Amino acid sequence: MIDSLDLKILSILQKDARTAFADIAKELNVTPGIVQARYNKMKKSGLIKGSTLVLKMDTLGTMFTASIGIKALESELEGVNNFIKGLKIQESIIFSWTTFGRYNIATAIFSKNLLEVHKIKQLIKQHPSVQEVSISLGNISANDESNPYESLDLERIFRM
Amino acid sequence: MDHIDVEIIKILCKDARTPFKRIGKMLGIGTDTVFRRFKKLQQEGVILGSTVVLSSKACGIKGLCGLFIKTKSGSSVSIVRKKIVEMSPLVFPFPEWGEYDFYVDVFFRDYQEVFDVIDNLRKIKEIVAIDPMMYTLQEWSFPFLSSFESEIPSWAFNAQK
Repeated sequence: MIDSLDLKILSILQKDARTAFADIAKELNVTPGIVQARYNKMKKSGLIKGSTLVLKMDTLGTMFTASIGIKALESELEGVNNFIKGLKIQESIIFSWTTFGRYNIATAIFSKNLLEVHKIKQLIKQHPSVQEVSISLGNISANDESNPYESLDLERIFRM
Repeated sequence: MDHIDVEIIKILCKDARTPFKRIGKMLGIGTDTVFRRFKKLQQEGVILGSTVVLSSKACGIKGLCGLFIKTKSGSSVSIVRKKIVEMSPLVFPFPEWGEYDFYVDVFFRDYQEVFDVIDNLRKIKEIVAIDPMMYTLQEWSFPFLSSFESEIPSWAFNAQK
């Protein structure tokens, strides 16, 4: 488990993953060696998978998002999911997962081109094992809060 | 933004802590050039910052439930969104249009939390239908679906050749 020092280190890195360990150490009043050791421990345990940039997506051009709920034949579920994951459509990124509940496949599309989204929907619909397709569209730049996942409240998540 | 900017962004998306010196070596340019371009991309608002990528499982999260939600016609998207966000730090609503008005990701530590969230959503008077689905995948990354997990393809950048 992680303690409050780990959590403080994580919170600093969450706001700026490039912060030097020496600066973190100064801020938390510990030695850089301790910060390094804690960081290594959290990386080794798999808590920290890595680090990445936070990009403003609409400066990369407007992106449409589509959430698709699919009802496929239960016996063909993996096949349909792999078919969707394997679709290679220009200017679109496709994610797909199996689920249970109202739908049994959830697909997410990020695309620059609304017509491509439509094309993907048609391709899924034409698959012989697909019984129902429901599509809802969103728009990344339309949300004033760019990406809600970046404001994850670690303190509340770890309940410390 | 040109192709060198794109390359710098791609490297940092995989590991935001990569030293500028190493990026310079990888791209055959000077460390100060990398630094200058990084600053410029920050000033232009393309790079908002950097963050650590965490494993949801190691954070004590058991799984993810997705909810498709329909609201009453005429109800305010921002008001409903705000009501949903306030419910839990692990609930993420996305306004949409089409079959449903919202898609909501609900990460949970135990199943009771999912029931509680759905129960609380039912109390929001603007919401008329909730269609849930439980994801079979047990481990997710935070931030979710970031450029860490899947490389941003070149077409996504408005780069000058």
